[in-house]
Amino acid sequence: MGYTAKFKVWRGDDEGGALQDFQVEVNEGEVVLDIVHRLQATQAPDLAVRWNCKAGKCGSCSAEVNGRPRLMCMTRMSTFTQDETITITPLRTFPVIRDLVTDVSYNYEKARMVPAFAPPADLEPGDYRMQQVDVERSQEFRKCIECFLCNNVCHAVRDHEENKTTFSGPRFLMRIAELDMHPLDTADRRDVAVNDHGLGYCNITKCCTEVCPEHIHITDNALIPLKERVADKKYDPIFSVASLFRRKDKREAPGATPGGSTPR
Amino acid sequence: MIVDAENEALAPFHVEGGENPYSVHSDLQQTMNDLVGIIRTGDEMREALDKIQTYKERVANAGVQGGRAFNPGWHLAIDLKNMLLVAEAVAKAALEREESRGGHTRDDFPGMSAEWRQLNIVCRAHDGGVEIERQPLVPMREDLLELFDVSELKKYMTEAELPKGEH
Repeated sequence: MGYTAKFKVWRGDDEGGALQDFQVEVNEGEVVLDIVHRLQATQAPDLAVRWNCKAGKCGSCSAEVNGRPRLMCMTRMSTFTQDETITITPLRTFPVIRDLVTDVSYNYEKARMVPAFAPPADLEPGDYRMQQVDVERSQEFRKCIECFLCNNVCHAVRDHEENKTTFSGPRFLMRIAELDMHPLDTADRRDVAVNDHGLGYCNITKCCTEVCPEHIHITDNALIPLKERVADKKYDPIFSVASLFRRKDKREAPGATPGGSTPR
Repeated sequence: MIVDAENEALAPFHVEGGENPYSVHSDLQQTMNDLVGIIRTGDEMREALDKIQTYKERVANAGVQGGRAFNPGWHLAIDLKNMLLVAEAVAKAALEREESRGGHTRDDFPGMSAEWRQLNIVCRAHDGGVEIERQPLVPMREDLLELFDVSELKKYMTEAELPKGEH
């Protein structure tokens, strides 16, 4: 049943590192995380890896297996051929602490920036009433286990470190969408989504949806509807036509404000 | 005090060519599974306690490689001391309790005993090992005792504990 598999595991710390070759026993039914644990037990006791539930519900063991962001505990060894070399690297978007462990505090900083749920002030906690259809809409987003594979794969931050200050990634734009869709939420989150969390950076490439281990339709059900709501307000035709006239009225000497960035 | 704790925690780094803590861990798991598992016998548990003593020496000789940052091997070397303590407490208390009750099944003492129901076994860490002590259970209050049928109580209690004057 068992066979010896070839692995390359990235080892190092914030000062640099390299892929290291390993040959390790694989048994039937095992997942990549089992193999990493066997590596720890037999060949590399100081191999750092973050893990907890081994059941795809805690979101701790995110890594890149053969370049693809995945949960190691949910990646079956049977999906690879026996002569394939399997490469495991840490999440690329976040700074490495050691080996496969990265510093994901970016995500928690962005989470803190999302304004909290704001129910009507006069509504007592026991009096919340919602339609089932509204519950279901946000229920999908509540499946998120915060493995941050979506934020890791999103090229807006993956390939552009500088965008981390202005862009919060799919996870938190989805959170804003969830609150925005909540029938009891009184806050208008559209400006926050664009100005504080960089909704405009999203190119709808659906990479986040593709890597989500909970199979949440992040792009289709959260990001696109949120973009539509933002566009609805920002580019409302009647409003923009009205503002066009106003701008014309206020225009001073020709060429004074190129690009039309007149304050409204 | 703090210096002692620090020295104890860092000790595995100073063992030259020490044993891999993971091999002690897997042996301990196997021992507890085989000898102090679901169905227990006195001889097997005595054997387990002997083995746990040898693991103590192995843990003291366990060495770790690498640095202090996020080093699972080092963490395991520290954890093993506590695992051994728990393993010894479980094995000693189970060996002491010569009856079967709930999740504790003794092949050599298959019945449930009313005398043993009156006792708890208290385990204390003592001098690098575990010390056990039998502690009598607080008797059930009279007013609570009245709530049960005597026939039901007879299944679990000694004659002396049963409500007086009703049988």
